[in-house]
Amino acid sequence: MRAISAMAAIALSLSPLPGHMAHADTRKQAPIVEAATDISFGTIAASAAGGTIELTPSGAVRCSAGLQCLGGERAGLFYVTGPKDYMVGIMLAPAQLTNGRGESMTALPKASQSTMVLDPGKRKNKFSVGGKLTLSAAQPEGAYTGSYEVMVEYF
Amino acid sequence: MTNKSVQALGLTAMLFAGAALSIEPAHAASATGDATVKILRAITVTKSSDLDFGKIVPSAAAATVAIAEDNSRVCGSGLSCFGTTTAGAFAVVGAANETVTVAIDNPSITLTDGGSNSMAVLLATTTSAMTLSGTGDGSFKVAGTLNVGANQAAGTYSGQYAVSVSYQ
Repeated sequence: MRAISAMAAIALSLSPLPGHMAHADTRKQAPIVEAATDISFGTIAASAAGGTIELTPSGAVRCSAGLQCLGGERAGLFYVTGPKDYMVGIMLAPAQLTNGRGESMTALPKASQSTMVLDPGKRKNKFSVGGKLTLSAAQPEGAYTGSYEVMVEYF
Repeated sequence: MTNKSVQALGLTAMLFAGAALSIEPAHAASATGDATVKILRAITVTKSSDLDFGKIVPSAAAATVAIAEDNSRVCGSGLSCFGTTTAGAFAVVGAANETVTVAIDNPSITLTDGGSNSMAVLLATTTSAMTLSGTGDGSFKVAGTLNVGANQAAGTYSGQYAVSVSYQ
């Protein structure tokens, strides 16, 4: 019985903790991340066999055998604003691109870096995003668009 | 026994609580980016007619037979030409309203009779590029000039050539 009482006491002492932590973060001026440029894989001529398209974070595109990269590619760009010397980690979620007719393909975004140490000032820190796109065999034609989430995690 | 078990569980809970207090949790700011790509359907090229020089009676001197894209024939001096002739023709299907380039991969080929006799053919097309229709269709033709040797051996001669069509 005494032991059970002790556990209850611990639970009570923990309950104010989240509020306290949130208060501490406000004082640190949490970094923000803003999207500046969308990713474009450009125009791709499909093939019967499908394949992959790789867009480097620096904006160079490469099509696998059978596909034809026809230009118009562009890397994505994001800005991070936050306190000086903050170290942040950059994480990206996959994007599902659809053509409005129910057909889709998956893009795996890739950032130019996985971490960065922030310089002070608005939009002083930037990173770019490329990605890998996989086309199925005889991927239906169309203009595909989709969104992906970028998270900048800090400690 | 029951009491001891409960006490041990309580100690474990305290240890976890202590660990949780020592690590500051991670936080994240997020943004959404867009990604786009335009996919054009794969181009298909289908032969709709062979390049056919018809029938030729050779002479003691070498000469040429030319088939134009309109299927017409020019029979070289000394030769006799008859029979139906056709230019090579290809049907293209791709993305609507896109421009494509056309190339003959091997514009100089050799026809053989299956044995040791052969004739050279030069191929050409006036279509180096074209814009596909609103339904993605297009076509082009291939002309050829056949070099018939002096006293060319009789027989049926054939050969193959390849064409390439690409988005511009």
